[in-house]
Amino acid sequence: MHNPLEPSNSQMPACGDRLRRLPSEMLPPYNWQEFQLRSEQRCAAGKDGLDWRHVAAAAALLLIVCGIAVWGRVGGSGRHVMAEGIPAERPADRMSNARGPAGDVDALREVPSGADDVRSGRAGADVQTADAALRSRAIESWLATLPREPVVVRVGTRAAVARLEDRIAQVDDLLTSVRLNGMHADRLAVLQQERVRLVGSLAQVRYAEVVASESP
Amino acid sequence: MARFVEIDVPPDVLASARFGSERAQAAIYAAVAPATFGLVRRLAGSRALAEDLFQETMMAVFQGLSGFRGEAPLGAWVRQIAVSKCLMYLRSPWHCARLRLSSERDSNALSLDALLPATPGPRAESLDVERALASLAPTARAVVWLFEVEGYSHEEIAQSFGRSVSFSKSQLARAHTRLREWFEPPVDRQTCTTP
Repeated sequence: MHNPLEPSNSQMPACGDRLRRLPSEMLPPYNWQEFQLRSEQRCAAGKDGLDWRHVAAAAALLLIVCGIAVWGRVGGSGRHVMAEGIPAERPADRMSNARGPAGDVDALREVPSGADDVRSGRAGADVQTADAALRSRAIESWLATLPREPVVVRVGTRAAVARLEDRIAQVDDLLTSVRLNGMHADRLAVLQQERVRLVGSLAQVRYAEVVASESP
Repeated sequence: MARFVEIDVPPDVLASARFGSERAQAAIYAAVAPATFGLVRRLAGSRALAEDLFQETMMAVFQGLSGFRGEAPLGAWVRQIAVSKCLMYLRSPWHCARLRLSSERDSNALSLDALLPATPGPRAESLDVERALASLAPTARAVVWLFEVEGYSHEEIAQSFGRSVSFSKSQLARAHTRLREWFEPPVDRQTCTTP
């Protein structure tokens, strides 16, 4: 412990004194009974979450997230390889394939094949927009598989999720207005990329929340 | 102004609480809760977050009470738990992400009124100091509060944050500069240079 009588900064002798004069005690937000009630609720929420099915679901989700992350890393270099061997396919066709029963992970895998359009000289912005839309949809489908939010949520986590959801909604509004005002390919691509980034962040936050709520 | 180390809990109450006496635990709660919430509120920033951290702290206190050997005052032990919970939150990626999102939306991560105490009718000077404290970044606020009010040394702060001593010193210097600007606004230079 340092000696509070010795000012740490000779230019600011009154700073510490002013802070020390502030009341160090504050009325607690609730009494003992309320504290006990909240403690029981937290404990109950923690025990309810300890289900092997939830743990298994969390492990599966972790694998999917890792897969997405690995795909994101190697996707750029993989495009050229795929462009050499796979016949050209329109983005619209890929989007329709992604909606099929094969699942969202398959849809994610198909996204990088947009490089064949690049090779054939199509506008890069259109391909980026389609790719981003597919990725965004795939991540959202994955998000939908997550269990509901726990009964007791952390304020910080809840605020982060709410802000991300708000911003996604804002981007959706912008996307709609851009489409209504005519297709500006560059602007659409930027907005879609931003949407993917936000949805990805939301997925990370929600996944970590699920894992945290299920840990003892 | 009662400090943590001045919190006095009779040994028999402490012993009863260890064995699960609800009445004794309620007495301990009544003794330590005001100072604990005061500290958490200063370090956390917002009231909602402070309530969350306060709950976690008090739960950790009662869960770990059986392991408390009484080598240090109970208040000091509780304070250590509260500080550790708050700093854990400040270091967490949640907090960083929240701050980043907030700063993207508005330039000020925390509103100046966020830290104002709920107690009605604070004095004007206290209010001013509260506002000055609220104007600091969360890390700087925690460092200056731990150093100036709780009496932590730079080494202890550095250890708590998992950073170097120079981190603590630089954060404190920045906080002092900011507070000095708040309490002693810079004089308008034009008036000095005008003949």
